[in-house]
Amino acid sequence: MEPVHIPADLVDQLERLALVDFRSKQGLACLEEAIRFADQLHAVDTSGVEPMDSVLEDRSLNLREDAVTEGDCAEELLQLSKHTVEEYFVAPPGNIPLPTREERATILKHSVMIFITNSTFWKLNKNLKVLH
Amino acid sequence: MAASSVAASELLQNMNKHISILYPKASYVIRRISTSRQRSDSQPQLRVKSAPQQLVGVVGLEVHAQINSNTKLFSGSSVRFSAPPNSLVSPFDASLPGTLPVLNTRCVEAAVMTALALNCTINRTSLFDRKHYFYADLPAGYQITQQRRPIAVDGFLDYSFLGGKKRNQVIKRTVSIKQIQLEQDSGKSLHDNLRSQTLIDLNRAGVGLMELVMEPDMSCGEEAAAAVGELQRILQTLGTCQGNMSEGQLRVDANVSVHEPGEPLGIRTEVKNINSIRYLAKAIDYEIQRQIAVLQRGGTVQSQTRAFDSKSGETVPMRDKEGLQDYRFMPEPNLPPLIVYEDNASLPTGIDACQVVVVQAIREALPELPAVKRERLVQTYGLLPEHSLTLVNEDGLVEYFEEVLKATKKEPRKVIGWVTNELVGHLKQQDMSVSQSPIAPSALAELLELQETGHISSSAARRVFQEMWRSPGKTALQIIREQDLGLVSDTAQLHNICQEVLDSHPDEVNAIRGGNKKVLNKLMGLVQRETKGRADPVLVRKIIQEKTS
Repeated sequence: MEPVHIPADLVDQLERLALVDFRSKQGLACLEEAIRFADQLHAVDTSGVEPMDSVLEDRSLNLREDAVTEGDCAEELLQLSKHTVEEYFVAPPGNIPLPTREERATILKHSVMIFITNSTFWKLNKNLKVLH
Repeated sequence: MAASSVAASELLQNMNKHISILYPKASYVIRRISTSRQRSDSQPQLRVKSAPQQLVGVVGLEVHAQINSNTKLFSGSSVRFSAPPNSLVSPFDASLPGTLPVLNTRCVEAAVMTALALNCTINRTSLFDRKHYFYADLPAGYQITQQRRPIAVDGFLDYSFLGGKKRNQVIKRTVSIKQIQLEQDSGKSLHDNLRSQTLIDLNRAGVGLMELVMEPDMSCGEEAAAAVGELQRILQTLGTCQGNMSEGQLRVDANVSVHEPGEPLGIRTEVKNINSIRYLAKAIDYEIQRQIAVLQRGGTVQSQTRAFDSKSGETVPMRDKEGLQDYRFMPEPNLPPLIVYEDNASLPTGIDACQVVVVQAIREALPELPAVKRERLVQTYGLLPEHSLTLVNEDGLVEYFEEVLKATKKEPRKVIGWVTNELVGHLKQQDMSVSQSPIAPSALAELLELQETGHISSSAARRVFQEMWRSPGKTALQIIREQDLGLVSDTAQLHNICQEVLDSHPDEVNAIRGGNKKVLNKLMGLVQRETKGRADPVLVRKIIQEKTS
């Protein structure tokens, strides 16, 4: 398999879309490994075969009657949130724009996040290897 | 020299602005200003393009209609307009792990019914997808929608509006509908700028929406307003959506661009935050003018999202949406394809009746659509198309009209004018609906009967109508008695009054005898003044004609 190169701009865009940091050497290596693994699908000739997008494709879709059966559990749901105001969930104002690549690099140097995401990636990778 | 060219270009910008306001249809481009130092006079040179560019607007609409159902699209929580925050939210709506979507039959039936009313092709099989974006009122981080294969495609909506010089010509248009898809609504965010936070209410999260995508077949605000108005009426007639724009049950976003006819389409902007049909027309027209002005100045229109500010009547750029969004569409893995069956014959054996949606049954249950109703009124009552257009377009007016007809022997064609002109005119002046009319159908019928049987003249009747409007509860008879508006048909009295008028206007009498018949009207007017409009005009004319022959 050819080595996969992911340009820095693409990494930045993927991080913005998924809000997952993976720009360390390990993270990128993990991503490249995953792409190489997925590329193996090209080895199968799928010309003339309808793509499958769900294993449920031959199941019938269960329809529900239009009657109220749930809701009215505001208290329970609000308890799940650390910060609420008078039965409302609280979020930061609008969407805070993600800082630019350079700004994030400085922030991340001091962040613990890298290690958490890295370990998740390694776990994923290990699972993929098992399926081989 | 530099200073004068800056001043000159500012002057030109101002001129352009003024000219585009004065002559919105004509447009031209000022190509270049050249200030020549060699010339003795320092006047800037203007070169105007010889052939005027005729920029026209192109408008496409995206309509989100909230489905009128008891529960949400994929969960069993209730759908209601106002309720305590987060009280109509199930674990699925809050996107808690371990919950799954279950599709609501009523929502599918509503979408099929709407699609049939809009002449669409129903896709036997349709698929659900996830559209990803991050926002606090979208707890799952994605919206379940139908992007690849929606439930219905390729329809059209016929609409009409009153145009022409006197606004009484029915102009018919059609807009193509690209597709109708089922999707989830998001929750509501309340921005608290003071404390720099947003309060989230998920009551609306997960409510079923029908997104109707219309092709850019319209060219101005009036057409868009008429199309949305007709769509609103259709949805309300079907009962699939209550169509109240101010309550957010019907949301319209406009995609606006300008171009020269025949040329490729221009850059389009999206206009959001439009809360009523009137504002829709205003926002679109403003945006078209704004884009034309930008192009006339030699600039380029930026592709952006703009919000309509109802106070100023202008569109303003919304907070930058970080360039083009990548929604990372993917199939919804938890939902198999949705299959709707054409008729009972095509149902697979042994299937549960409440597990299927049958198109034929829905088609047979379609109510009378507004267009059909208008045609029926024209046929039944012998009305003109513009009358039936007004009748059906005004909420409750048809019922009012039919109530009046029940209580009077007058012909529908003679009654319709009173309803569409007098009644509607007064209602519009005070921004009232038919249900708020101070004059009940029976009261109007009484007035018309009095006019028909010769108790009062037409002009007196109009005066009585106005008095009835001002003092609700007073009957026509009461007002006629109080203001002594009863028709004077006492021939002796009329003869006397006519004689008086003729005696005091000998010149006019001679003119009539000389062949000038138009002067007769002046004399009639004088008689009417004497009798305070109560003289029977037919009788007066006869008397004057006799006396001047």
